[in-house]
Amino acid sequence: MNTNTNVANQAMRAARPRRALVTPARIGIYAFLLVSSAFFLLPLYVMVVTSLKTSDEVRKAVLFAWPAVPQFSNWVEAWSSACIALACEGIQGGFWNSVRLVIPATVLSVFLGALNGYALSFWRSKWGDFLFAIMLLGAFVPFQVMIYPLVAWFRLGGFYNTYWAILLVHCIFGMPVLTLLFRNYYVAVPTELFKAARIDGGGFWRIFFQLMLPMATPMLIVATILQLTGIWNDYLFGLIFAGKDNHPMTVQLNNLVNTTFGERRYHIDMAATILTSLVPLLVYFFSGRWFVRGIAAGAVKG
Amino acid sequence: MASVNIESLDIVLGNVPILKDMSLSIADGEFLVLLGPSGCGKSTLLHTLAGFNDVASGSIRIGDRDVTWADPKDREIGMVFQSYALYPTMNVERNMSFGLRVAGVANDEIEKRVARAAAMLHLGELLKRRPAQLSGGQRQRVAIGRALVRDAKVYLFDEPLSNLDAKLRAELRRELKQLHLTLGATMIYVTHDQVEAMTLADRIAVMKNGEIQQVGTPDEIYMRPINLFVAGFLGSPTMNILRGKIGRGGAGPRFEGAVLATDLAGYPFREAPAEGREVVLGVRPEQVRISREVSAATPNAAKVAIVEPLGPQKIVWFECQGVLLSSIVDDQWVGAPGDAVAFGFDLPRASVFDAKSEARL
Repeated sequence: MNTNTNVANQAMRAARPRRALVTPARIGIYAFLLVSSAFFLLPLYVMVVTSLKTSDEVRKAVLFAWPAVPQFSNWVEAWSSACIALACEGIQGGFWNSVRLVIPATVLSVFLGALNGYALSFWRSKWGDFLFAIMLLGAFVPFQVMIYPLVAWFRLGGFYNTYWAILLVHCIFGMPVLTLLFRNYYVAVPTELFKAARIDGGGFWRIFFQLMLPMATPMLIVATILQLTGIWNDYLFGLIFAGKDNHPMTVQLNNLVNTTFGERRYHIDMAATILTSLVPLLVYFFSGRWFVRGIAAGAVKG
Repeated sequence: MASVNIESLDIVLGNVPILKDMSLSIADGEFLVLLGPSGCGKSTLLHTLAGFNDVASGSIRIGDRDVTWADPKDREIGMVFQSYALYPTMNVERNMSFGLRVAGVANDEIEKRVARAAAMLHLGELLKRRPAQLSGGQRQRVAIGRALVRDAKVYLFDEPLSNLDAKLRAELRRELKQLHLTLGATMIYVTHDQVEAMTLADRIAVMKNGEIQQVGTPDEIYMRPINLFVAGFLGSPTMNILRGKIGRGGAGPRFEGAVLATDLAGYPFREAPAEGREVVLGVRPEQVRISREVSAATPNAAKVAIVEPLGPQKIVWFECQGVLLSSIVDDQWVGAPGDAVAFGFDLPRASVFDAKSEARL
């Protein structure tokens, strides 16, 4: 905090001699910013516009045109009555499946990541560094490689294609990054703090729950955002491990889009897509500040 | 309250031996300071007493209990760290009461003890604040308070004042001394600051390279250092060092050096030194008298090089045959660089060391 204000003060002082507002560098920066925001925003604009059109308007193929009358009923239809194969219940089932999965998976994986990071940084055990190295290695192996062995194991264990399978998969694959994130955070915490708590009689769990977990609030927020959006956006694991009854929203969306009787209903597809991406979009919207701050903190402190 | 007994302790960290065969006894109610340069193993010793390092061999006893392998929480110690190590998410009151809450002490007892420690350390109005809202001095007070509420048998201090500015350091030093007088508890205090060591300690243990060089009262350590290292580590400016030989005079042994030759008759030798032995004469600046009454016949003629006024005193650095010596004089002394001076030593209070072994003679 202090250094922040210092830096700010210095910046204010340094800005005293009035600089020209328009310089070639500045023009370049703004041009770059405009182009890159257009690059990301235009597709979003097209999605929103298309999702509000009637099917006739879609067929005219004027991509950027605003609909004559915005059809919010498209969204309602995509939510509750669009047909996926033979069932015409929209993608609401997928939404609730995703919610049912994302919340426990996020809470569990963030908790385990924090626990790992805490144990690795403070309770130095003989094999701790070795295990950590293996776990990091896991982060670099493409996860597609592990899919088949996992399927085989889960089938052996008798819970392939169940809710527990998909929950477990998300926890496992979240572990390397989350552990790294928390370990780096805790490594920067002075060990004297831990020693003081040990003298005060704190054991493994008490020090974790009462001291280290509350201290890591910024990291907890970052990890939660990472997991929330990551698991919500996952398609492959959901398709492979969840089983038909637990298919998350992304899988349902794909099924909806790929169901073809007669004409393609792009406006409904777009509406469903927007509904599906609404959750991560909102998460980024409301927590972007925290997200950037946490990533920066985690990255620099490592 | 309890005594602490360390017996032939060896500590190895990684593969590096840090402490070798160390033995030390601390009496009940004593304030012992471990003093030494960084890397001498004093902090390692303290952290081992607290139970954070494994012991390779030897034993540690607190009171009549062997705690060599006990968990930190079972040693009945309180500890204060250099970095304060306050729990950042808890307010002052919860910081101080954390250990008591862990131990399951009744609420009214917790309140009583926190209130008592807070009163002792003037923390009354800060109880609801978080560590981030406190100044450095206040933080260290809280850290001390946190150790005090535990009613430990031994209190350990790991350079607690090093992160504070000079004024606060002096203030807290005085408070710590007062605290020790009030509580009469056993305290072990690690520092590299000789002023803290001298002012606080009942006894000082001077350490170097994992070995205790000398244990004694501050006066003993200062006035009768056991070797050149201890002599050089304490005192500011450092002791004046003159190299020379033992010679024979009329009354007894004489010191014969390049800068001066002088009679050592008044010096309490442990045993009479042989003639011709290489020795080092150590004289503290306050044992050096200088005079401006110089004549051509004055034997020890020297020139003032620098004068450093400290307020109540002045340090005069003067040069004699290429050797720079210091003397502490009172503030009334008048002189400037270039002035000729004569000097003499208060020899019975000086120290003579062997040139090779550097041990006191």
